[in-house]
Amino acid sequence: MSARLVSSLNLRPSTRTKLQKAGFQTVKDLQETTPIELSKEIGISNNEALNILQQIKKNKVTSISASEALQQERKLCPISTSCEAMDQMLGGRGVPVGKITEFCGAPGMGKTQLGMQLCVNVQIPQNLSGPEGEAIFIDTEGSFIAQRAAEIARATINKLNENSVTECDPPMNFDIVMSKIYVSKVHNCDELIALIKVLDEFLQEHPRVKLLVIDSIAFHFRQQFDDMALRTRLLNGLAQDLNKFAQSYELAVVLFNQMTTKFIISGKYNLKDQAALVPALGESWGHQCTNRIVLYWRNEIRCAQLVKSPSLQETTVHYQINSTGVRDYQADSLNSKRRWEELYDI
Amino acid sequence: MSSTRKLTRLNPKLGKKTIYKLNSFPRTPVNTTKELFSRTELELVECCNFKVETARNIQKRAAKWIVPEFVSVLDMMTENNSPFLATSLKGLDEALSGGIPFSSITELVGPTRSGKTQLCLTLSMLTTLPETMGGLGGGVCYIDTERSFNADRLIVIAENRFPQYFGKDERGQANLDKMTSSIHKMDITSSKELTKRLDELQEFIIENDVKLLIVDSIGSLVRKEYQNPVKKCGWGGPLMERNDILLQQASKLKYLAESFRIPVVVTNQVITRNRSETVLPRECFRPIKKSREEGPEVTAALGNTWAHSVTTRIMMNKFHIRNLSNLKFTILNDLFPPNLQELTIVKSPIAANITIYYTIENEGIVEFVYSENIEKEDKRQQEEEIGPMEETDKSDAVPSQSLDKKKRKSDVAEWFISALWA
Ligand SMILES: Nc1ncnc2c1ncn2[C@@H]1O[C@H](COP(=O)(O)OP(=O)(O)OP(=O)(O)O)[C@@H](O)[C@H]1O
Ligand SMILES: [Mg+2]
Repeated sequence: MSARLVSSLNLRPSTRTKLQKAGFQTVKDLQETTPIELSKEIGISNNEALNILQQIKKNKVTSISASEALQQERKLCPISTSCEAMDQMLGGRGVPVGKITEFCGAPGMGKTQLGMQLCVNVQIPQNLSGPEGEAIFIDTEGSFIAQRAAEIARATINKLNENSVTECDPPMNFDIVMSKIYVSKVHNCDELIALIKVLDEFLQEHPRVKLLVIDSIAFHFRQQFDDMALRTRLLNGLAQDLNKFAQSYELAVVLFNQMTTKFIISGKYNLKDQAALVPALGESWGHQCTNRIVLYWRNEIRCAQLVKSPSLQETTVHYQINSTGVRDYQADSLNSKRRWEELYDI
Repeated sequence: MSSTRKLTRLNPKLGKKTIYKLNSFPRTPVNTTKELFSRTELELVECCNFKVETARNIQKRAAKWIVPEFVSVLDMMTENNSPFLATSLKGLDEALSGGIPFSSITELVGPTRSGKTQLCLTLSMLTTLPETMGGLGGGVCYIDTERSFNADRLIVIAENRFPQYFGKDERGQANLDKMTSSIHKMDITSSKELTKRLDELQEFIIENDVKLLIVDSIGSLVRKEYQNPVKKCGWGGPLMERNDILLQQASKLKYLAESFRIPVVVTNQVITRNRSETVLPRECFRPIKKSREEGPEVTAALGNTWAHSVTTRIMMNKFHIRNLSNLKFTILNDLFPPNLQELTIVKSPIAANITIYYTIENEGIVEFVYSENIEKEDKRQQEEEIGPMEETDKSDAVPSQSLDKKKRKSDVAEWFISALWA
């Protein structure tokens, strides 16, 4: 089988010539390279290189015997947030598949961080009870930074390596993880709507996508809308499409929303008006997602509160963000801070 | 940033008849992609008598025309090799994994005289340097709304920082000329003008090979024009209008940053508000000062909506050890120069919330590093105590007592930092 000719692979003609020019004749020649090496050597994109290498792999292991039911269950495997407390809050194992989950939070609460973490975690392989899927990240704010995603991916892979005792093969390959996160940067409202309109084609081409992140849904919808009814209509349409995707492609749809200041004018006898920080985009939008979580600071600890869910209890949990990504909050650091405060009465 | 396109250009794909129908959409004709996507499928069906399928197809066709592509993170990483502008503040660069990030907005927040403009000038100078010297070898567009740009200062910074490269000789002067002629200042006096300028900036950026865009400051104009919007007019109109202008400017800046892959740096002022009178909700960032401290609260101006639009936020401030008089760190006091300032990353998709310390010198902004200072101090004391030593037996002749002290001091410094910022 390794003697199979490269020319028999399903490739674009130009790629085929490139491969042949570089001296790749049989599949065996290709097996020794990595995606990056291949893309650099023959001048194709990383994705294309990966595609080629995966074809070979697929040819190698053809038959997977698993019962239909088991597969179904795996398909619906939730995506861990890497913070156990938050996973618990979301129903046990993380962000649910087939539904829309919205995280709202003030700037710097870690929404984008959580998005990147989920993009990595969705790729945890099935034998480590992960969803083994791919991820789409729609970036409207320009805050997706590849280097940070790489850092989070490396830390996550390392952690998995530590835990897996039997494997001699690393459970996840860094390059492959990085190539399975598809990022699209949209610059205005029209582009966002347009993207959602054609997304089902992309999803058909990439059937392993299990996570769709939009960071943030609010940014482009908060400006230049004189006609609020129009905004509501467009948002409702968007939510409908997203719901459809979530169900028919068995995706976890994760939306990030900003916070806005809501003023409660308290009449003229009251000296002070009240103000509160609430999720942006108004109340009708609030009905559109299945789960809603608000992120906020309390006493220098990051908190996540489930404020809306059809089936889960509304609870609050702590989490933290460190160099490795999203993690459970460690009471340790708080204690040491207290000790300091006692010691030096700050 | 009009990325909207005329539908007539899609003619071969949509067909004349469809376009005609869309154009005669009752009341508001649909001529552009923007107008098309502000209609729902249902509206198209009802108003133009399209079949549902047709309406969907029209929108899909147009959508395919304008959607941005998907890029895998792997490709993103191989595409841009040095997506950061080094600030020459080592601690900051390390935390931000190289410096000011490209393709996004970085905001410097601080009170007057905290060094925002100084940092902007330093960054401008660095950007014009050739790549071999850690620069970007490109031009700078410096939008000045406060008349704080100072070309003389720029030259002083350059000459002091790179006395060789910007020397007094002919080559040095030529380098200096090259530097100053690639930094372009624009004076802007109203927020409307700023919005307009940002729209027209594309050409300018291409023509002058601009590699860094600075707006110093983003807040001053709108804050002048919408003075105290809350007190005067309540929560309604003016505040929303102000936020709308800011959001527009933010999305234009983002668009430029991303399309040209350049860093955008903006500065912003701070507001103080009395804790007891606070009408606005508490600052959503982690408080800069300890919550138990007395006195008014210091936060960035322009509010929460704007804060969401900046990708990286850096707070600059006076170092406030002296405010914390009950601290028992007087020993450390004489180790800190009187003009010490601090700089904290309060929001960044890539860095933790860390603080570094700096002073403003002739050569611009200079990082203040404890350990070096402590070492210097120790050496001085050591020399005072036992006099300078021979080079050769220096290593083993260091008295153990002095070593202990040195270690203790740096420990104290470390504790001190962790106590404040852990
Ligand atoms: N490498 C890191 N190490 C530790 N903490 C980090 C690191 N990178 C980011 N963070 C934390 O994450 C915060 C940024 O979070 P993030 O960018 O996700 O905010 P956000 O909720 O998306 O904000 P916005 O609403 O403005 O988009 C930083 O301010 C910092 O506290
Ligand atoms: Mg974000």
